[in-house]
Amino acid sequence: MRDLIRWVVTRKENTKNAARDRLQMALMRDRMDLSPDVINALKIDLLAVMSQYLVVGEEFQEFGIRRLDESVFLVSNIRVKELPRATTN
Amino acid sequence: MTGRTIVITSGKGGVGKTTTTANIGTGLAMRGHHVVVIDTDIGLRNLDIVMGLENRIVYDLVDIIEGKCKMHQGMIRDKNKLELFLIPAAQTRDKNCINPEQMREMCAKLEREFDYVLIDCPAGIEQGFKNAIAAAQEAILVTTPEVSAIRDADRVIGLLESEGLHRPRLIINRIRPGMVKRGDMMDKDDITELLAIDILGMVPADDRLIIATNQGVPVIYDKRAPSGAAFSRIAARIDGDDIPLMDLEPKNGIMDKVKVIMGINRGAYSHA
Repeated sequence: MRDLIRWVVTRKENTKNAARDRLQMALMRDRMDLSPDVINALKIDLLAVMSQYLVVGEEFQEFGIRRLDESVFLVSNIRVKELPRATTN
Repeated sequence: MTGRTIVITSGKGGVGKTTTTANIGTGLAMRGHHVVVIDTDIGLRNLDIVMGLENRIVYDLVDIIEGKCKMHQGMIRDKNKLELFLIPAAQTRDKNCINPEQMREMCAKLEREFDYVLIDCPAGIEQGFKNAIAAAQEAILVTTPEVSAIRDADRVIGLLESEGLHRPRLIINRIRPGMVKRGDMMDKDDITELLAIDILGMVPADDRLIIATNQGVPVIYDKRAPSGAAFSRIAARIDGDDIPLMDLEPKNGIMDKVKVIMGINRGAYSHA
């Protein structure tokens, strides 16, 4: 009852949602800082996979975890030196 | 015998690691186990005073590691004659005077004599943290339902993972059921979802815990303390009992309010 009165009087939003949402963003940011070891291992594996399909440069032009609004993206650019001929239509 | 070495850690200071260590240690000893608790907060020791053993210290952790005393001389027995022993931290040294390898060696010896070796970890993620987690096979993470403590806990989970301590279990300390009910405090679902780990237990904020700690008595001895009951259940779960989590409910019957006003019901919360 007291809660109801308070709600009617103040109409204040529950603060736990603010805490949870702010934390969610903060943790996302914190976790984006992958360790250099992990970044390197990921690069090596990606290069190996791409080399099965394309001839690519030895280094990524750009490589990083970026945030756009509420989502996280892996953004990477690499030069393609040779494209294979199409084998299917 | 091969004991289990468990580190109690948090990242952030002041969330209740030491109190948790003292109570879980006591709880496991009350269940008949041989338990040793180790304070690794060198320079800022506190497990001794929380357990009421501060006047009995002769030797400490650093003395044992440096070979200045025998292992048994450095262990203080619990006041209630349980099979519970404390290895206090050195007060006038710093965290760099021991290393992870020495901790591993010491704990390997202790595991031959004890069922449980509990390590109270210092706050932070520097040398003291590294020493504390080195010997552990399991980790318990203590947090409170606050943004700062949870954020630090997330960081620590990553660091534990990189040291091979997978799946730490979470204790949420100082929950205030009334605030959770009003939507002004994150509940266990919010927190376990954010951290993506399993929960070991929840401990309600409890005036009786402060009163017990004032006297150097683990609150687990206080039969009327909701926090003590919560710690008993946590100890049982660590020991392998399958006890379901209880939802914390604020006491808000009319008689409880009267009791609170009269100062009789100092605990204020029923379940834990």
